[in-house]
Amino acid sequence: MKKITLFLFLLLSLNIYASDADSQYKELIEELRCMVCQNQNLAESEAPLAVDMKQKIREMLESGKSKNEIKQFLSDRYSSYILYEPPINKQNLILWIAPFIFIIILSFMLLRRYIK
Amino acid sequence: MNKNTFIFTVIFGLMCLFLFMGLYNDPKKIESPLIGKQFPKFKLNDLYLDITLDNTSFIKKKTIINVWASWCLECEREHSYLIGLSGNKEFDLVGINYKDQGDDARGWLGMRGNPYRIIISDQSGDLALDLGVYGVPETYIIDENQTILFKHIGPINNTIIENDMMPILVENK
Amino acid sequence: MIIDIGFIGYFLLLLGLMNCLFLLTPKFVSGLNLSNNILLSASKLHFPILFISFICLIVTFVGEDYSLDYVSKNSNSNLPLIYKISAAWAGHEGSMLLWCVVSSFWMFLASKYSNDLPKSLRTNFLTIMGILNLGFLLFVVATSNPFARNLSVPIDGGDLNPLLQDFGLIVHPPMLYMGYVGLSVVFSFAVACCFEKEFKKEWAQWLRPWVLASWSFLTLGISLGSWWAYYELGWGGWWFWDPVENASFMPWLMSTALIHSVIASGEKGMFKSWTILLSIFTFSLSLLGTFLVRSGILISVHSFASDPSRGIFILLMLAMLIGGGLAAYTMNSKKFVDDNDVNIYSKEGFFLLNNILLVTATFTILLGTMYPLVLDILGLEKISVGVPYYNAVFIPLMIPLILLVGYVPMLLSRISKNKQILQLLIIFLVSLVLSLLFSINSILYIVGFFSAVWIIINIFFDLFLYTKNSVRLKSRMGMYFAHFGLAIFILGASVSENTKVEKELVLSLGETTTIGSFDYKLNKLEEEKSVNYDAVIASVLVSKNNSIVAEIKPEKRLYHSSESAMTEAGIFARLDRDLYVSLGNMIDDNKWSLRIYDKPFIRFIWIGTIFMIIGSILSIRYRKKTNE
Repeated sequence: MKKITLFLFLLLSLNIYASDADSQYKELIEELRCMVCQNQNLAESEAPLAVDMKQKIREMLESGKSKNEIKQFLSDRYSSYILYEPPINKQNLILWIAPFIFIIILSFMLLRRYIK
Repeated sequence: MNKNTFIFTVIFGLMCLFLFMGLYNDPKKIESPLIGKQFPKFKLNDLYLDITLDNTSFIKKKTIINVWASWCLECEREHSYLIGLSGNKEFDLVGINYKDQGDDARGWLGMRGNPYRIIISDQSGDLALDLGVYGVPETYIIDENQTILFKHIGPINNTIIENDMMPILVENK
Repeated sequence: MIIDIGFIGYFLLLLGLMNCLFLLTPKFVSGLNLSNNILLSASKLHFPILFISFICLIVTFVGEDYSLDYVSKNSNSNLPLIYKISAAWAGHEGSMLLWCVVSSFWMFLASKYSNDLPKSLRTNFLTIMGILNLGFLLFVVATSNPFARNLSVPIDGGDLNPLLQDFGLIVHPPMLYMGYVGLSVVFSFAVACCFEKEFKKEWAQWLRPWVLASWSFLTLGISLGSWWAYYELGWGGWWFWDPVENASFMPWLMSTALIHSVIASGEKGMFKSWTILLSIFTFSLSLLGTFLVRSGILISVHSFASDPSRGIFILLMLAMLIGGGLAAYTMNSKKFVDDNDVNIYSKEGFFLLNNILLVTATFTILLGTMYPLVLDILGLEKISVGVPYYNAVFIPLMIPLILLVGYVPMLLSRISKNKQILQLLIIFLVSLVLSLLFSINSILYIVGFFSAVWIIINIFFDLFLYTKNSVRLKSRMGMYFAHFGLAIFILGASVSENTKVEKELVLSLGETTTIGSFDYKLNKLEEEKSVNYDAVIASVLVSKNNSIVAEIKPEKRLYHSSESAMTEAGIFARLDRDLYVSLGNMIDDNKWSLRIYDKPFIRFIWIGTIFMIIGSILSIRYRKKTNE
């Protein structure tokens, strides 16, 4: 019951917060990898390439491109290595579903063994 | 050995194997998604002449495309190899001057020699972005139909030319 | 004649090796009828030998003995004394020696405090610790000898990585190692129990403080690391889900699970085989973490060393130790018989759920860390696994866990079920209303805020209404502190992440800008020359309603010997917010790019971890008293 209430609240709040261009920009540069750095995102990096990319992203957002279009644009050129959120595709299926399978198996094993 | 033990042994063994192979893996090497795709459309100025270059400026040959800049120290290291490649009739050699001042670039080439047939001046870095360039120098090979066949990040040298580039450049001849 | 300290240090390392072999004789050399005293004294002697060797290494640094390769690479004559000392464990070789010293220290303690254990258990336990120590030391001597000589002696040394010239990174590695290696005690004990084919309640109780102590050090180490990254890397982040951070976070999560399950094993004789398995896995994960960091197979902000031969050595050791431990476990796991069954609606039942969630969380992180590597090796498209993935997978796992944490006090106070439901509902609604009032800009924020409030209200509710009995209070104080710390941490993380104001901008000298509720003026730019670096120090005056609140002085340093530029962020820290300024690049003579961050409540992140550690220490102390 508690969880359901919480969930309902979550759903409600989902609709309230539509994001504007500036926050979209911030979200984007935090989700994209700086290709020349060691594990930094674009927001953190001041490498010249990162600065160029941020500029490009800003321009694309201003010209009305959506977040997903921009991500697609960049990963077409720089490979999905640039995305900190791995795309859900055949290759990454295990990455996304294994946690669920794991928790089910583990619960099954432990609960069956210990709860009488 | 029961079933569970067997499964865990296999998983454990696989993990060790992967970690072992990981030791001989270069984590910095990233395959370009553009291999096999068309060279991007562009319309940019020539570095020397007051003319516009676009995709029709390539000739019907295999073409090496080298991205460079006068401010790039690594470009210095590969320059003599590019000069060495420039005499060859089998393929074409085109430069992309990346985020550079025209005068600096021309001065730099004046000192060291110009190996390129034409040089595309990409001051804004737009073409480079379309190519997924993330560090100069980078070297590409495209075929007669402008399909990208090869990409190398960093300076080229004899080993790379002999082992990786030449087989692509002179195949089926 | 000058005494060659480097030689003495190396000699002591070899002596340590001999000592380890000596330690193993009672167990492995049969027929001689060697006394167990050899085992006991050798396991105690190992620590002083290695400690003095380590002191020798420090002395060579202070004495600028550049005939040693390691010294010449990591130090130079201009370095301030404190960094000359800390340089002893800043590079790969020295830090691995430190690892060995820490390991020998834990063995010393294990040997000293294991009198009450049955003889055969103790013998096996210390022998396994001896094998671990032998392995680590062999690794140092064979592949990473800090006392190796230079072929030609340079006049001056190279430089200590400027990132490491900092207090945070002086104490971070020793603390982290104390945690990592402390878990080797737990591992050795668990494997020794496998050989005994039994895991008695008293043994689990004996084990518990060791888990707690290692956990406290791990918490401290990770927390220091995150604090260091926050003020030193210059972009104000405190956690990046970076592979190296994950490497330390995995054993932390696992040992958190272990802390709970070992209580059940100690008090009720439950989850015996599960606790043993967890113990083995926990240390395995710290070894794996070390492997990942030290072998350089991952790209990461912190990866310093890479050399395949070292990687192979650690991998071999990893495979043998973990493989051996797991083999010992699987052969004997059927022999562990629990004393009691578990009721899901009880402390132990909650522990079980806690363990399921924490182990799954650990698995998730392991998966996220290893998956890109596996894809890469298989020649598939390379990917990055970062914050969005972990937020999506890790946070949903933590929500039920936090609901449980909040519920625990009421469960322990054994209030009747009807009353419980009513009270829980009230607390739930109060927390929800509070979080909706304060946090209305994102779902994550509401969830985070709610979690913190939910735990805190539940704890205080119980403290005021039910736990008046002082014995009961004492027994729970550790838990309350730790859980309260968790809540404070969550509060700090969610408030700072969701209400922070971050701006990157260019300011000329004298120019003022308004960010959040403060005005920032670039007041002065000064140049300063220090012994080993030149710095530009900016002075930024912060004011609110025209009255000056603070002067923040961010620096940009250029280190002489390595020519590398470093950012030293300027932070004005108060309990309720940090104002954070870091210098970017010089645009013009009097024009700089700056990052200005306003981060409310960010201190709570580290304050929370301090509470957790206090809780853990209280738990160790409490257990000790009841034993007396």
